[in-house]
This record gives sequence, C-alpha cells and structure tokens, in this order.
Amino acid sequence: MERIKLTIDNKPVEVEAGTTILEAAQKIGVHIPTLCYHPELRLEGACRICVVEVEGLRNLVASCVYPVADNMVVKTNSESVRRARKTVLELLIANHPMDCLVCSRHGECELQDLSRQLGIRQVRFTGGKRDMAVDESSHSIVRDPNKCVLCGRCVRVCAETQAVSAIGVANRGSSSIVTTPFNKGLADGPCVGCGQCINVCPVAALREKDDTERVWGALHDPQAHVVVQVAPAVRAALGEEFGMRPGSLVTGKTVTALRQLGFDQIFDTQFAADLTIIEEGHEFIHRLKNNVNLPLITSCSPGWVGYCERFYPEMLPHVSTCKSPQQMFGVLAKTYYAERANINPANIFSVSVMPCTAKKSEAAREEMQSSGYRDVDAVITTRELASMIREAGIDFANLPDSEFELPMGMSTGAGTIFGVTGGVMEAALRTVAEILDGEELPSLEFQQVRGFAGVREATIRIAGQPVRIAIANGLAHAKRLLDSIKAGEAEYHFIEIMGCPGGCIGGGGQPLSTDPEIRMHRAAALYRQDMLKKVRKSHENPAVKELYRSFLGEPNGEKAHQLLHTHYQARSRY
Amino acid sequence: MGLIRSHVLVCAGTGCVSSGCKMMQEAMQQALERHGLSSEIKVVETGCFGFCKEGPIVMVYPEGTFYCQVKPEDVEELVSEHLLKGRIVERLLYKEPVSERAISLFNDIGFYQKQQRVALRNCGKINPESIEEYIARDGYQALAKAVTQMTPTQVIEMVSESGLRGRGGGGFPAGRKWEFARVAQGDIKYVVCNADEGDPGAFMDRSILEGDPHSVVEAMAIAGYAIGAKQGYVYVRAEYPIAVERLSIAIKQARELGLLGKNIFGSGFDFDLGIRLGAGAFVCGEETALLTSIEGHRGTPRPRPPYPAVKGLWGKPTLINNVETFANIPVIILHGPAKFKSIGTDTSPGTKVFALAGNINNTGLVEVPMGTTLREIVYDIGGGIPGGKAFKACQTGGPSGGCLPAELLDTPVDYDSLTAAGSMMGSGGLIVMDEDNCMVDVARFFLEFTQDESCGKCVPCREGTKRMLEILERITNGEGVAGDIELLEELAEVISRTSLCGLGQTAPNPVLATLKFFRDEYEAHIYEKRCPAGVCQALLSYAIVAEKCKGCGLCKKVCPVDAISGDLRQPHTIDKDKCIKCGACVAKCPFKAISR
Amino acid sequence: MMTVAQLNSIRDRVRKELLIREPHNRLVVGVGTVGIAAGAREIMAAAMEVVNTLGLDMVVVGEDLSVPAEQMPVVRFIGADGEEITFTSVTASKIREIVKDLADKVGTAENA
Repeated sequence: MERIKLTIDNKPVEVEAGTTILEAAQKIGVHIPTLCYHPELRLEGACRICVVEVEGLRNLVASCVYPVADNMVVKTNSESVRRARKTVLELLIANHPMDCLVCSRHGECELQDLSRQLGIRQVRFTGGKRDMAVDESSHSIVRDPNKCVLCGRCVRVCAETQAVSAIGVANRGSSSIVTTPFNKGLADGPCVGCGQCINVCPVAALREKDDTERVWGALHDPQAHVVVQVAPAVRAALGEEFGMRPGSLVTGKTVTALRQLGFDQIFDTQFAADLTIIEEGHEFIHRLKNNVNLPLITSCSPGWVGYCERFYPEMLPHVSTCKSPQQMFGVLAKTYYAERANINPANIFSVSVMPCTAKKSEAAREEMQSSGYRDVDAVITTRELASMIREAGIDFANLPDSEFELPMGMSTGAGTIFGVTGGVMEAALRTVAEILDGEELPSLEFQQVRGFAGVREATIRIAGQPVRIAIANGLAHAKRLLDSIKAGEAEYHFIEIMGCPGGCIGGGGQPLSTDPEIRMHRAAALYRQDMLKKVRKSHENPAVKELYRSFLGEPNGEKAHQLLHTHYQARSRY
Repeated sequence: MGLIRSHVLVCAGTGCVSSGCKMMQEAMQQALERHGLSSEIKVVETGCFGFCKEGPIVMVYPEGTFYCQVKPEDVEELVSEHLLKGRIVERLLYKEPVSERAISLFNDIGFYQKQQRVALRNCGKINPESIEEYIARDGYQALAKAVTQMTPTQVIEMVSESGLRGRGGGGFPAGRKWEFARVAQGDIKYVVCNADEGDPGAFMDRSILEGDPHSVVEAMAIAGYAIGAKQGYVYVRAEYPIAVERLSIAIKQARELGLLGKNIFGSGFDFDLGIRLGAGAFVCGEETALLTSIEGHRGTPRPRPPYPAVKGLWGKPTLINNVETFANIPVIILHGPAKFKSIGTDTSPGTKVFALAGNINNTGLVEVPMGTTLREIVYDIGGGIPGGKAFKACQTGGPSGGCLPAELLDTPVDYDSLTAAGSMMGSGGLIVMDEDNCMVDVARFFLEFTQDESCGKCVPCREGTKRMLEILERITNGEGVAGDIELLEELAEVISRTSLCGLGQTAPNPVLATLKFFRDEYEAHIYEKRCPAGVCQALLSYAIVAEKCKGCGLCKKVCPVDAISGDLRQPHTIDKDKCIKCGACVAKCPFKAISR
Repeated sequence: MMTVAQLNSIRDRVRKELLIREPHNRLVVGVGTVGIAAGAREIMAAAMEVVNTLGLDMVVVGEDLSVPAEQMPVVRFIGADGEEITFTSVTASKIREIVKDLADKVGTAENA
C-alpha cells in the first residue's frame, strides 16, 4: 500500500493512501469536530463542520471525506477555518428550537457539545425556523423534525444498516426535511421500530416514545402491584449512563435501583429466555424430524419480526411461533405468577426494561393479551430507566448489589447470552444438542457462532447429523442472508436473526454512543456473566422445570401453545 | 410538377411552438394544397433560428427570405404572393428597430451579422428529425473518421489541441477531462451528456437538442470511442419534451443505420445511448448530483474527489460534458483543431452560445466568437435597450454569475476576462438590465432562486442562502439595518468557501457582484430608505409635485383605491395611507408631476 | 452495419436536395401574373426537369421579374460568381436548350 506523508497543524503524519484527513488527524491526536460523520456509516461530507484548510486550495474542504495527498499541508485551526466552522454551526443553531433546558437530550446532545466546544455565544440570524408537527404515531419512536439538523445519519443507518428506508430526505433547500414516505406517520410506513436512528441521531429529533410517566403512575398507585422484568442486555450497558466503564456488569445494582424506585417484584427476562429455549428447541426438533418449514428462524427480536412481516412475508412460516421472552414473561406474570402469589391479575402492572424500542411496539400488538389482560403494560428502555433513576436521586454507581425475586428471577447462562448476537443460537444448541444426543456436552461454548460479523454460518454435528446454522445481526445482513436462501444459494436448518447490530446489546434503547467498540465491551460482559453462572443450560433451570411441572405441562403442549406461542401477518409497507 | 423547387422552413423550436407555429404550419399545408403547389414546395420543420422574439419564423428557400411573426392568417398571402408569384411579402419581413428598414435576407439582419454558428451550425438549417439531412451536412463523418482512421489517443489529442473548454460553466479543458476518463482504470466506462440546463432564461442546450440532436449523438459516440465506453446517457430535463422527442428519434435513426450499436463502421467499436429524464432540479446540473440522479437516488452532489472521471456513474469512470461542448466535437474532429482555434481567443477558442434576455430589443439565442465584447452583443446583436433607456448592467453566468456595469461593457466575452471582471461565463445566460432595475432586487431574485434550488444537503448552502435571502428581503422591504452589508459579506465568504458543490460555492456571487459595483444602491436602501431605481415597493412614496400638476384629474380617475383628491385645475394630492403604490397614476400623468 | 461508403452515398444524394437551401447558381423564372399567363409555370417545370436529369448544380427560382409584358416569359440566369444572363420570350423547348447550354458553366451537383 502506498504511504502518504503530510503535515497537520505542523505535525508530520504518515498514512496509507486513501485515508481521509480526519482519519489522519485522529491518528496524531488532532481533534477535528464533526457532526454528520459517523464511523459506521457512509461518508456524506454534508454538514461542513469538519472543514479544514489545505494549502493551495481556495476552498476549505470537509476533512471527513477529503483524501490525503503527499506533502499536503493541513491547518485545522486557522483563522478562516475557525470563522467558517463557527458560522456554519451558528447557521445550524439558528434553525433549531434552542429549547435545551427542556430537551430529552440535554447534556448528551452533539449540537450542544459543539456549541460549547466552539464557543458560540450569539446567533445573529433571526429569520424563520422550521415549524412542523411532531410525529408520535409510533409506539416506539418519536420524530421531531424541528430539532433535526439534517445530518442524515438516521437516513443512512435506516437504509444501510437496516435496509428499511423508513425515512429519507424530502424537499429542497431550506425546506429540506427528513420524513417518511408520503409524509405519513412512522407507524404507517415500513418502520420496524428498531431505534437505530435514535442511536445515531446527534440531537433529540429522534427519540424513544417516553413511557416513564406511565410507569411512575403505576408506582405511585397504591392499588397497582408493579412487577418488572429486566432484559439481559440492560445490565451490560446501564452503568454507562452513570459514568461507569463500558462493559461494566451492573445486574445487582439494577435490581437494587428498581427496588428503591418502588417496584413490587423484580424479575429477570432471562427466566423467560430459558423458557423460550425450551419451547423453541422443541419446535426445532419437531421441524427437523418432520422436515417442515426449515430453516427455523428465531423470533425474539421484534425489529426482525416486523421486518419479516413487511419485507419478507413469504418467509413468515419459517419464523418460530414462540413469543419473545418479554411476551412469554408478560403472559406468565399475569397467570402463573398471579396464581402463585394470589394476586388479582387485573391489579398487576407489568413493566419491562429493554435495550430495545421495538419492544414497545411488540407489547402493543393486538394479540399480546393471552393472559386475558394486556400481557406487558409498559416497556421502558435502558435510557428511560436511567432517567428514572436519576430523577429519583439514586446514586447508581455506588449502589450495593441485590438479587432478583424468585421464581421468575432465576436464570441460566444460556438466558444471559440472549443479549448478544449468536447468543440465542448458542443457548438453543446447548439444549437441542443434549436432548438429541442424549448425553452431556463436553464444552458449552460454541465459538463458531460468536463474533460480530454481519452473517456467520456453521455446520454443527448433532446426533451424528450435520445441522447447518446461520446467524445475522442488523437487518441489512438479514436481508443478504434471506436473499441468498431465496436465490437457492444457501440452505440452513436453523437461523438466528437479531434486528440490531451486535444483537440486543446494540439495541435502539441502549445508552447513546458513537463508539463502535462499545458493543464488544457489552458483549464481553454478558459472556463473562454466562461463565460465572452455576447453571448454563436452559433446560436445567430449576424454576423453568417447576413451571412446566406445576403449570404448563409439556413443552409445546396445549397450554404452552395457548400462552407462549403466537402468529404473524404480512403487513403493508406503505 | 413532381420536382421540388422550394423549401419552406418553419421553426419548430419550443419558442416558436409557443407562439403558434404548429397552427401556422397547418394553414400553410392547406394553402399549398389549394394552390396546387404541394408537390413542388416542401415544408420542413426545423430547430431554433435563435430569434425567438420574432417567432414564428419562416424561411423560404432558395431565395433565403426570412419572415417573422407569421400567423395563420398571413399564410394565404405568403403562398399566393411569394410561393406562387415570386413576390416577397414585405409586411412580414423583419424590420430593424431604429431604421424600420425591412430586411429580407437572413444574413443582412443585424442580429445575425456578428454571429458565427458552430455549435448551432445546423439549427434552423435542417430538419432535426431527418438523419439524412444531418448526414448531408457532413453528419457522422467525424465519427467515421475517428473510428476508422484514428486511435482513441489521437482523438483526445485533437480535442486537447483544439483548446475546447467545457461550455457548462466551469470552462475546464475538455481534452483533459477526456484524458482523465481514458486513463482511469475500469472495465466499464460511461459517457454522460449533461442536458439539465437550469439557469433561468437559458435555452442553449435545449435548442441544440431540438435543432440538431444528431450532433450530440455523434459526439457522444466519438467520446465513447476515445475513452473506451460502450454506453452513454443523455440526462435531459423532462420540461424539454420536444428536445426529448427529437433526441429519441435521433437515437432510433442512428441505431437503424448502424451508427449506434455494434461494430460501428466495421471498426469493432460498440456504442449505444440512453435517455434519462430529470425532474427539473437545478442542482442536477451539477455533475455528481446528475450522476446520483441517474442512479435513481435523490439528486444531491457527492464530495469530490473522487472525480467522476475516476469514479462516476455506478462507481465507474465517467466522462460528463454538456450539450454545447459535445456539439462542437464533430466540427473539431472533422475540420481539425487549427480551424477551431482560428475562432475566438487564445485561452478560449471557439464560439459561445448565449441566451439574450432582459431589457434588450432582440431577445433570443446567439452564438458569437469568444472575445466578442459585451457591447457588441448588447448593441449590435441585441439591438440595444428598448425605449432608449440607459444600460445599467449585464448579468452573465446565471444564478452563479455576476453583474457587470456599463464601465465594463468593453469586456471581451471569454472565460478568463469575465472572471477577471468579477463575473463568470456560466452556461450562457445573458440578462441585460436598464436604469429601471434595482440591483438589490436583482440580487434578491437570484438568491431566491438558489436557495429554492439548493439541494439542502450541506449546511452553508441550505441554511446560509436562506439567511442571506432573509437579509436581502429585509433590505428591499426598507427594514435593513447597519451591519447588514457586512453580515451579507461574511455569509457570502463562508458559503462560497465551505459549500459542498458548485451551486453553493457560487450562490453568493450575485450578491458579491452587485455589492462590488452597486454598493451605493444597497446603502441607499439601508440608510436612506430609498430605492434609487424605484422598484422596491416598500421604499416608494408617491407624491404629486404641486408646481407641475395642472389639475387635469386623470390620475384621480385612474387610481384604483381613490387615494387621489383635488379640484379641477387645482394641484391634486395623494393620501399615503390609502395609496397601494401601484404606479397607475405615474403612467397616466401627462405632466410627469408624480414623484416616487 | 453501415460502411463509410454508404454514409457518403447518403450524404451525396441528400446534399443535392439541400442545394435549394444553399444555391450556387440560380435560374430565375419570371412568375408574376403576366409571367404565369404567358406560360412561366410550364417553363419552370421544363427547366427543373432538365436540371434534374442532368444533375446540375443549379436551382430554379420563381420571382416576379419586372420586364415589359411582350418579353414574357422571361428567365434570368444568376451564376455563383454574380454573372447574369437574361433570356426573353422563352418557350418550353427553348428553356431546355438554355439549361443544356448552361450545363458546362454550372457543373454538376455531384461536384458542388
């Protein structure tokens, strides 16, 4: 590879040809502010915040897209750069509501950060501002075009990472907006609610539907018996909201915080994850033995299910009929738990804490009331839980640990790794292999399914049979996988698909970060917890065994089917 | 008689179609039938003659008589007198604006005398829907020569040697662009013709496509041979239906004759063309936005580098030139670069086509050698300013260009002189302004255009032009404040230096240029709340000068809001609260007694 | 596939038709009211027929030439170099001879 030598702010640097000025600057610790740039998305060069001066060029260039050249002399803080950068930012701010004090992103807003960093002290442009309706049609995502800075990161993530394209730029000039097809509500378009757009939005133009007030209402209601479940990926990320190192595992602190907030029973979604493995494992064995509807595709990820319903309806028969762990938990909270605790299910308010915004839409699906009530009453994201903890004045980082309540707080390491891509597959293999092989596995770690590649595939020998499996994370990768199956280029028995990059740890409800490494840290935390668990196979979870013995009967039996399985429908995209 | 003795050419360019040439042509056919002349006189539809103000235009050959503003009711006389009895119909001839002299021959008309037609060589001369007429005028000879006698490198050398510069605005040397595309690595390459002409009032490219589509088809095939492309696309705006239709016919005819397709002239070279329609976004004239649009995406520009010659359409090396640039190519290949260079100036060889518009007698399309002065274009070709008014400024380069004042009328029109003078060549819009034009308002007009047409992708262009426009609107509304000029200048500097594409980088030019030459007008608006040209309504205040008023009462009668009162033969007065500043009284007053 | 020779043959054929638009040599037939009454249109037809048959570089034009009525029909040759020859009291057979005589002067359209 050709090496290029240049100087940035008088510092020499040598990089490979094709490197951008921004990348070269980062290499030597020169910080150039950016806005539309995102390390995981296609380069746009649109916002012009990252402009720098290159000797010999009349115009300033966007460092995020401009390739280095030999002997290039770059200045990132010359007078004209500083002035241009500040004017560009001032122009952006001039068309922004500037309602920081009451904004959900106050304190973690990239526009605010830039304004502070560049020392903007006045906005000299007093003309018109965008004034548009806020789109609250979706159960998952709120779209506020007035706060939008048109960086296009959401549009790119939705198209590139998720292959959904629920939003795009429309109109021209200063009338440009990010909007939905035909300007309908998000809920009436192809949006699957995954929330990746929120994760990349630098401001609060995209945010989760805030359900914390409903949860506070239940907590303050003396009649309500409030139960809460916590998804695996939450405990690997919540600490980040309180200044803890990425990858900190905060299971015990989360339980303590929830207890302090006033939840009556604190349970673990991982219990339901183990249950899902039993149901889905048996479903797989049945399909494999009878060779029907193979490959079986997992159904835990509502982003993926919503995508399949809208983009690949012909694949719906392959999707497992198992409800997701959240919904299995929800129905059991108002049946099994209510019965055991002798509580009127009508008085139970069931909350789930999820790394996911699509879970909000999943809980609101018409059919999700097999308990006779709304199975899950409110879904809050990791971020929303953090805001409740902050509001309650809880010093999260210094909380002591405490334990989930039994029985629905009991889980195995298999349930834990549900939170990371490949985890559901690995958990399922631990159970399915033992059932079919009839003997204990020598090693529980299926390294073949781990990692972060968009699509991974492997052949596993179970009971002497080769079982072809595949894993996809991020919907664009899922699309690639499904297209190869449809084209007859690949054949599998079992597929895990997670809607978000990295699986739930990279979910749309997780603490905000533009660091791609953050997902690795969170995944490592979950694998660490798995290792630490005494029981690491779902079918060995004693609480789940008890559930079948005393309440459900057989896996995939009649009652299990009635309560734990569901159906899907093709949905129109527009 | 059976043998054709006369050709009657009827202009069927968009301008003449709008002024009714189709009905006139139908009447012509009927009249010829009636007089039994239809077998000896052939009516031919042609492309634009350029003199759109005088349309519909009819040209009778072999006499070469130039008739203008021919209406259906004129046709009977034209046929019975001229075509039957050989008598020229004087009243339908062009009359010089000042002398009122009727001129029958095309080349004797001042509008055409200083023109030299290279790119427009066939416009108005041939039927654009007949490939044979194009071939008769040496059409496709350049392609034949290129693919059978020359190597691709030789073709490019010839283009380079000619000194031809891109006619789309930037003036980049065409030969270098071709060479970049030729040496770029890639198994697939494309040739693209930019026919997304978008400057307000400009129609050079439309006229070429309407009048001589084969010249573009031929040139693109030559370009394909030179750079190693097998496929070309013409990106043309859908608002040019006649151009699109004639180009489609041209492509079809060229395919039928094997001038497009496989193994052209047995050389082994394959080339085909497709048309892609644009929806009229100005920014799609920017080459990277154009490519993005062809690819099926929202037409927004992409950062350069990489340049299209290296990574263009679908990531493949792509050569993009505009229509006028391509139209020059066959001439250069066929007659050699020396002949081409003999026209124009050293650094800007050849000719340039301009769309003359604004306050000028002869509006229309003109082609002049580079180096012709603005004065020659405005006065000799354009016939000067109507109503004897004073020339104020000349706007070139469209919304990206600038306005040059009377002192600079002797500026030669070529790329470098115009830039040095503070304007630019652009794609060929030329708008003349007289004493009644307010230069602040002119700048506001262009800013309104660019901010409307900004793609919205980059911040300086999207937000900055909006704020510049707001400031200009304030100034023209009489709400300008001290500091506005400086803020405009600061914004202009940032927008031009930080915008993503040429549209944004040049958007502030109309403001900068008017500030440069007409700063006093801005100051009058801001500090004296006065519009010197009397254009900005909010700054006008109508009053009757008592000493001049004879009390005739005409103004009172014409005022639509009864704002004028006064007794007969007594000085009248205007009630300023009622006055809506429509100007009707000023137009009516025989004594020029009303001031603004 | 088209060959260069085929292209040239189209060019040469159509170029002859287009001579009307860029005439070199003109044969003007007086076609005013008097001219037509005296048979100018028949003369015109005859002239064109011969021009066509011989493939001459000459176009036939109708114009209202003002000459005394007794000289009608009148025909005037105007050469590319400006040379003018006027023929009076022309007849259909005379015009054929006139055109043939002019053939050498004007040459063929082929070589135009």
